[in-house]
Amino acid sequence: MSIILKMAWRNIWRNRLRSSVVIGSVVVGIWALVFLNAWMRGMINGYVQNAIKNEVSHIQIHHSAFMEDKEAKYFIENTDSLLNKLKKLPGIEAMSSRTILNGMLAAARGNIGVRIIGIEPQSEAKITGLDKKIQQGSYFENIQSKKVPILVSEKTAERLKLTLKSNVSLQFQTLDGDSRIGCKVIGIYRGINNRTDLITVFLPQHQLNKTFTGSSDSSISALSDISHEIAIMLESTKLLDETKIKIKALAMPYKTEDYKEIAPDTALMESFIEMGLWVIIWIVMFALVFGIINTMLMAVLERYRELGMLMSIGMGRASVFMMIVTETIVLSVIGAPLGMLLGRITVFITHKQGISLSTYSEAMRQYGLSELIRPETDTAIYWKVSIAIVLTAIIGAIYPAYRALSLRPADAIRKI
Amino acid sequence: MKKVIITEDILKVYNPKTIPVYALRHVDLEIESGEFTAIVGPSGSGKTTLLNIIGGLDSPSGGKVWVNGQEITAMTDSELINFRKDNIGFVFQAYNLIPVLTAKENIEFVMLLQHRSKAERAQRVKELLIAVGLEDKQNSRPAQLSGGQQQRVAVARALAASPAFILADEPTANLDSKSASNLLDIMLDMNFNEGVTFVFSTHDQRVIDRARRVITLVDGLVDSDVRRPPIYLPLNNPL
Repeated sequence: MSIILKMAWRNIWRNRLRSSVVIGSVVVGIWALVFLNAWMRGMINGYVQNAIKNEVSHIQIHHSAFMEDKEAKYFIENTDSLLNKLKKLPGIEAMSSRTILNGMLAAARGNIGVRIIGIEPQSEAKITGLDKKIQQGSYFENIQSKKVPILVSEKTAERLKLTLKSNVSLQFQTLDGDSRIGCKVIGIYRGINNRTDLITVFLPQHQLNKTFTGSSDSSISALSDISHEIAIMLESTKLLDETKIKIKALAMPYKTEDYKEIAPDTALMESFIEMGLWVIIWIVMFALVFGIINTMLMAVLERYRELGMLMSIGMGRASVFMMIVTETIVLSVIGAPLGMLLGRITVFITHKQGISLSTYSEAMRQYGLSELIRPETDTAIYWKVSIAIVLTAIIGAIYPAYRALSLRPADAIRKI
Repeated sequence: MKKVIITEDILKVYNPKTIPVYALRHVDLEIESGEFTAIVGPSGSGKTTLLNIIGGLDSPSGGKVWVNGQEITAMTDSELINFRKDNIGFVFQAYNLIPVLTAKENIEFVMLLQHRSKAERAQRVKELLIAVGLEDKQNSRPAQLSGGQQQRVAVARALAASPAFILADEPTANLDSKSASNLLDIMLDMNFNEGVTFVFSTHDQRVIDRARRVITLVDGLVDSDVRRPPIYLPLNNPL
């Protein structure tokens, strides 16, 4: 085997230019694979991180039926008490309770169906950074009006022609009937996702709860600290599994879910990446196969007499086949580490600096994707590429090797 | 003496279904161990075809060939490759060394195919390099050697596997007279001193003059088969 490897290595360098062209194409192919994979992964990770930081957080607690029906009656009781217990757990960075109702936002120029979210402003700012997304007005600060302050998105303001201090009314179902509250727009925010922005409004939780639980029924009016959702941000995503178990124990009988369960589209995106990666691998390798076949076929035809001589002096067909396959694999495998290294360097630099897609910001926001992509690789890509390149080399070697095996030594040794 | 090659009624026809060309017509030969035989004849007389058939590189249209007691015309392709490796040494007109291997590696190559031990290989390569006078060129690749030196490496390679005989197809055709004479001295020396059997096809009168048996082919037929004492012996010949 060592003599075959030695001959394969030396044969490759008999025509340096031709071999360099093939190695170069392998390098470019592998580099493209690594970088495209990192690009897609960076895009999806950005999407997931956006979703965690702006919408779903790491963990959420709900009434067990709430995520199915989103009905107001599926609330968490004694939220403050539960929050106090959770505060004692390690690894929790911030928490925020929310009251979530579906309702109608009515303004002078029209109305739209909205998701009304009652928040505790300070906690929510720590979880989603909502205070930093204010484009006009303020974030529940220095409120003079007697009306309930409300934050609407730029998209909502644009649709209903709202400006700061516009009066709107919110209509929603309470626990024992319908209710309507008058609100004044005190701030206009810009979220990360145009679609959810359009249908989301924020107002102080205590004011929303007051209306929501306001009832002549004493059993309802006694519900002072209810919520529909508790969002929890962890210090690190790595703490997710262990912290979730602890939270789950404390939050019983309520349902504790992590961001993958709450937003299954993140998992779907990940599977899309995987599928996309394989499609790209197949395309690149398919193109490489033809380059390899061409090069090896030329190499075999040029060495027709030499191969005939090898078979004449007793080199078996299997050994000739192995020599050509080894030569092809060595040729391909030289390029693979170079391509991987180049890809790794490119990913390292682009991850550090980020790739801005501000030109496409509107389209990206439409899908909750970040404008700044930070490509990332995982080690699995290197294994997959290594296996793919060896398979490509073997496939590329089959036809040239077949041509070599079909020669007749007596004819081949006389070939000029 | 042991008969190493026997051919029986060998027939070789090219294009049998269109325009038949008879390369060999009913050739019967017996070559004994230790012979130094030249197959001569004009171009197209069938010399190379006969050598290819004896060497198992080509198959006859009819007849049988026994080499070292085994009928090679009944063997499959892969059996023939194995048989050639262990029983027949080849020296080609155009040297046909492996260009990416050094002289030493070229000689060692067939022994590697035979799975001989490293020590045995090293010993045999050393002996053969001395025998062909190329100890100082052992690490040179073919492109760094002259034609005569390459052909000496080819002879050493053919001998490395300790074959029953060596088939040489016009081995001196591409050599100048000094190199050709040098090569012939080496081969004669091996024939006399080690009993190596050589079968040549040749046009070269120098080779024909030194052969102890000359078989002449004309139009695929054995025209004459002459055994004679050598008219020239190598200098170190004890006779």
